[in-house]
Amino acid sequence: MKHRLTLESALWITVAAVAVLFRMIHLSQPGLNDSEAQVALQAASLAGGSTVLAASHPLYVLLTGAMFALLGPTTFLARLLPALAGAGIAGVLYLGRKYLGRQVSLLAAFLAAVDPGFVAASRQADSPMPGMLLLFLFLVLFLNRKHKLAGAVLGLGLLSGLHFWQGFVLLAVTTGLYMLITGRNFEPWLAGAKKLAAEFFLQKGWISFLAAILLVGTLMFTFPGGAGEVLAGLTAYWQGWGAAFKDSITQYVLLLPSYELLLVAAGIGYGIHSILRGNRRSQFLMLSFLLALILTLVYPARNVLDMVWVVLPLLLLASDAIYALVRLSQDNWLPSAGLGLAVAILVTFALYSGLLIFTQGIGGQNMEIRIISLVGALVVAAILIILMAWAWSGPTGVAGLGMGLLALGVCYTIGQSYRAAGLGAFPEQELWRNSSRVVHPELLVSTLESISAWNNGTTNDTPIAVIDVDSPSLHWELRNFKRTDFYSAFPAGDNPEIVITTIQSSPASSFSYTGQDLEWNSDAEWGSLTSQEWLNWYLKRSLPVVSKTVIVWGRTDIMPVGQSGTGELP
Amino acid sequence: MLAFISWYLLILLTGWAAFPIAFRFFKLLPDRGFAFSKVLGLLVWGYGFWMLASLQLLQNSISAMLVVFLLMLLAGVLVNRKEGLSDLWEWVKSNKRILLAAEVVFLAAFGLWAFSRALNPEIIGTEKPMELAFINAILRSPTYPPADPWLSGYSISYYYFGYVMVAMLIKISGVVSGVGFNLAVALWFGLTATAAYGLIFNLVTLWGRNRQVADNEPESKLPFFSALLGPFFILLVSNLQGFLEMLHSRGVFWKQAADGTWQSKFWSWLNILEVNEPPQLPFSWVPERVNGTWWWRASRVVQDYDLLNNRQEVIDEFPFFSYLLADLHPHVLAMPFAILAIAIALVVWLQIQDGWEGSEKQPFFSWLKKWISGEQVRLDDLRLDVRFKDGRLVIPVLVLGGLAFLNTWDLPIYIALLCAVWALADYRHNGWHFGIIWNFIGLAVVYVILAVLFYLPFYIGFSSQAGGIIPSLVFHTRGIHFWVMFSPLLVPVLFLVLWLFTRNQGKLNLAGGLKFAAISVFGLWGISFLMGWLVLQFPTIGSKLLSSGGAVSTIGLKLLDAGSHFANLQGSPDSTTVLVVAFLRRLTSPGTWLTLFVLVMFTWAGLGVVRKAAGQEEPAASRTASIDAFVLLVVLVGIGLTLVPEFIYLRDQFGTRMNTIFKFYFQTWILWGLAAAYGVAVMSRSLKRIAHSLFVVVISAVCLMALAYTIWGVWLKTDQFNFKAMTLDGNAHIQLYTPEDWDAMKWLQSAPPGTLAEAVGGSYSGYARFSTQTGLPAVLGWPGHESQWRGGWYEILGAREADIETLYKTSSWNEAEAILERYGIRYVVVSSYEFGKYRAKTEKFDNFLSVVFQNGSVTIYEVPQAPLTGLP
Repeated sequence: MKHRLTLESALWITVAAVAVLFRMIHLSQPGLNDSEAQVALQAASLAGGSTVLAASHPLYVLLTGAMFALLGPTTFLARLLPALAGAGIAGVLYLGRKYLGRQVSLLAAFLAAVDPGFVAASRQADSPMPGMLLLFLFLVLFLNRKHKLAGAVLGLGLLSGLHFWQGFVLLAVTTGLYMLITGRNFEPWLAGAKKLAAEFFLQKGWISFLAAILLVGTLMFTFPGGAGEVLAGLTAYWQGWGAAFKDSITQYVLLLPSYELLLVAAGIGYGIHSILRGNRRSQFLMLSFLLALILTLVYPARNVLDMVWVVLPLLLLASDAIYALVRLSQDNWLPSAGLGLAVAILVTFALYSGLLIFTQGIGGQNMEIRIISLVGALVVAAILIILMAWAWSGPTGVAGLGMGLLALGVCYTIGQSYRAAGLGAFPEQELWRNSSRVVHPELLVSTLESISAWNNGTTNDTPIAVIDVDSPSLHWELRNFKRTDFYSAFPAGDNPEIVITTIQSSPASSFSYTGQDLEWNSDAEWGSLTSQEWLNWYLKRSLPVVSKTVIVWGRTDIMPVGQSGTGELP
Repeated sequence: MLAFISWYLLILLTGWAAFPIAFRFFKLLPDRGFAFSKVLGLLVWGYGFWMLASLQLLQNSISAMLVVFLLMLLAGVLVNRKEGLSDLWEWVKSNKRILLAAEVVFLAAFGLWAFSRALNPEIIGTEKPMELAFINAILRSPTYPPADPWLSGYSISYYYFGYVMVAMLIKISGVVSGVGFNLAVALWFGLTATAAYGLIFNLVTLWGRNRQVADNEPESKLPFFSALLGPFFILLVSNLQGFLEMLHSRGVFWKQAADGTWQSKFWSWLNILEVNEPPQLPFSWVPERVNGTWWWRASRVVQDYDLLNNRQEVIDEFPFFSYLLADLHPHVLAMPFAILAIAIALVVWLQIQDGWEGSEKQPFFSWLKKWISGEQVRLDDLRLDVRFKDGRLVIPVLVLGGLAFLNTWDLPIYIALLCAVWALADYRHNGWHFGIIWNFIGLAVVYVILAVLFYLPFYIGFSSQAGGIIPSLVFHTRGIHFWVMFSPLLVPVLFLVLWLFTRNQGKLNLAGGLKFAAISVFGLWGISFLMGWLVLQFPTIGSKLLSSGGAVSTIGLKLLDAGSHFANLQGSPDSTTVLVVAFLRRLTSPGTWLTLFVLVMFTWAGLGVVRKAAGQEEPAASRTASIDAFVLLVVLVGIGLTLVPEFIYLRDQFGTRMNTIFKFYFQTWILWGLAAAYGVAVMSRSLKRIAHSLFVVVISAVCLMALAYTIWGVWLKTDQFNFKAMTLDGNAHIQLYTPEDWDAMKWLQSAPPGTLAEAVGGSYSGYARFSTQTGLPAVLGWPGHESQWRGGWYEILGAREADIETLYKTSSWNEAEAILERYGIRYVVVSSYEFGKYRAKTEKFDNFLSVVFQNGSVTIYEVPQAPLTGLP
């Protein structure tokens, strides 16, 4: 029997395609930052035959290590697993449509596909997305009584490490607190959980659980010690509570209104509205949002990517809000859509005028016209809404307004998503990443390859000494150079052909070296920004940044003679 | 405080996780093994982790340890799958007092000793650096077997199981190793106290229940307080040296002669070193020693003298001394597990009481013999279901094998006890026959084979210094020294043995006891002298063989060496002189062997009660007798451990009785301590009127004398309870007095792994301190200890010591570079030790190596390393 392609299926396929596209495009850009490079190097070390796995994300290291062993270590492969996991969230929402509702789950999947935080987190190697995917996939399968699959997913989830436990703790605390606050009886819930657990054991879910750990954890028994790291994530999570805070809280708090404006506005707005009407799902999601925010902020070993746990409940609430809007406009969708379009255009115009006022200042040129444009556009929009509400119905007017704002919100979100992925003009100015952005590593690599080629005809076989540069991302970029040594001080008595130093030092050698500075990574000083600077950043992505520069030195005798009289490296 | 709490919670969880296993195995005990569950849990957890890590199936990580912990929990559930855990829960609910009592004892003992350690926490002197080095090396090793911190390129060749357990607790709790070391000392004190408490509780409860039924007595109360005698006699009571030190310092028995010197016939006759010299003035009841430590002498009461009156040191430690010294040595680490082994022997004894299963099972060797010869045998004949039921084979083998891995000397002792239990059961049911001896040997062999197999990874790569047995001709323990050492235990044990004898006099065969005592004592005497005479002939025989040439000549040389060495040890090459003098010495100083003779006689006779009581109409009386018999068996094993080294001892690198006396006397203390505790508990319940009063007075007097050492020892070591600088960090003194060294150690602790070069020096010194504190392997640490552990290896160790010296002394970079490459050295430490010992020449390091750390007088150089990633 042929399956007809329904609209719903087509939409799901589209959403999946969008999710994959947003995650895969230019995945190897920019280069791995220090935080990503640390885990990628562990995977590379495993691929190189290391027998030690010291990672809080064993699953990532094992599977990526396997890929590296087969295909070689590349930036693309280093990010592939989180990218696939991030895209897979849509799949979880598809499986969970029975519980969320078909339309809501589709909307949530679309939002997850384009959400800036989800996209950014999916495009980084040290991502929480595998843990999130596996946790919710396990829950959905478990609730759907697919216990064998659920067991396997649970095993993989435990192996995925720290983020699985973050999500688990959040879920457990939210559920417990929700029941306490709402005064719900634990007994039926416990009885249900016991019944499901018993089924899990009877249907041999525990076998697939063990099999997943033993087979994947040991990489088909090629790395026996890997299975024992199944609780490494729990250990890392626990130890994180004893760590010291490393970054400022401001960037976490401002991240939401900056990138997740749609979700914040729609999600929180709808959440409050429906809580007042006794909507239990909204109550649970709002509680989850608040607890995720608190737990993320108070967790000492936090990092920015952990905010995806805060985004998730907002995303679901926003999906509910959008679905409510769609239902509201069902009867008069055409007029609502028309009004929405008009509102979108007018509000865009108003925003543009406002931006010009802000950038040029109050005393700027054509200020009166700008102000009139701003106010006028908003007034016209308001009039249109009132007219629509009078002519058709109140809900139609509201729906129109909502659609307009939604359209703007989606465009804004997609724009932010592009930036958050590091593909914008100023990637070092984006918040959704764990450490400083690496600036043009390909420039360094090509420079070294050129010097090596001049030296001995090969592009990666010239001795390179890196002096006192503590940067995993630099380790990563130099991975293909066969003779690279890392020192804390210049090795006395040695005269390597290429030396990389910090800007404060130079090769302490009797040989002559020619140097060229290169910006290695840069970051804004997020912790010390004023409110004016934050606004500047929000509107223009314009902030002073702090860069780390390295100098690449080539020994003069290996450089091409007379090629450049300035003595600079190409 | 947080560290203490975290360890307390950790061990509490471990105990409760293992309790389901203990509940099944110890089901015949009144407390169902609760008092032993912490020890059992630590053993099972440690074994599981160590075994899987040694097989490379697990890494040395917290996650792996947690996985094994969960497996232990699962094992507990599986073991109880038939009866269900509800059975256990019901028992817990109705026996809360028993559980609470054991927990209170544990917490009190653990807390008390942690408090004591906090008042003198320093990890300094004796072998504490060695123990800390092992712990840090185990913490630092990514996989097993752990690297030897004092011999780079090799794994530890020592019984390191106890250090694995300590390292596990340190790793999971996240405390630093300096704190973990002291917490481990306190924890082991607590575990030993609880295990001893539990054993006496069970013994006295069983005795009480049986007596109640047998004698129609009212139900006896559970012996919550009597059981405290167990930890009291084993852990708190000390030998009489402390009391003697008090008398000595007070000037008792000293008289001033006309020439002004102080003299004493008593102290001269006693002839315990240091107290045979006049005390310091003014006299005081507080023990003191000029330019020394008085408390050390208690572990050196016994002294050996050869024919030329040259002294050989003998160690006679007892538990309180060991804990006061706070040396985490294997004999200390093995203590709670030794008591666990005794508890297992008790359980096995109880298991085979009512249903003698020996006749139902085919003895293993006989079955094997038939199978090999092709006879028709069935696997069912072995009754494996009976042998393995309730863990009755696995648990004992796990514990015995663990003891070998903790402190190898303990293995034969507790195997002997376990086999003796079976032998006694056989005798009880079938009377005496020679098959008892063959079965004893056969069972011992089976246990040894299984114990080795269970811990096989340890034996691969382990080399020992042990090398056979040597007859003890001129060396023996003076009677008075023996009594100084053991009287706090001997007195109650003698009381017990004599009381049991008088109670059952009509049923016992004293003549049999006399015969056995004579065979044991004089038999050993005879064997020892025969062996001694033979060895003393070796030089003569060897000289004659030398001229033969070839392999015969080599044998002759070895005989000549061995014989000459043995003769030198005795103090004379003339065999007649040696034998005669040795004989006369023993004859004129019969205290020890006579004491043991009497003890053997009454103990052996007392064991006969179990045969007479079997088949009685009142089974309860029989059971009472069987509990008494078990305790007498424990006494007998203790006697063996003190009697044997009077005539034979194990040969090691030192060639003297030192280690044999040390290990055997320590175990004797545990065995007799338990017997003493049991004796006092039951006799104080049984004796009436004058006998009771006399008994109490005598025991109290002996105990008070024995507690003198305990009280003054703690008083001194805690600097009179100086609370000012309380800390559990055993390395706080390094941070305070040599902060530069400490900073360098901290740097190395977080540096990438690699071999370390530092100055090599003697044992018990501050040398090898960087490898000790960091766990990074040094080229060579304490050479003396390495040669002990590896049974020599003089060439290898000698070469390393010379190379390290050259590395620091040479001005030639090429020479230094060759040494760096030879040992794969990554870090070269230059500090006051290197300057002091070698006048280290650092110019070559400055020119060719990178300085990675510098602070004051400490510099660490790093040799350039390969790229950090092992990319293909």
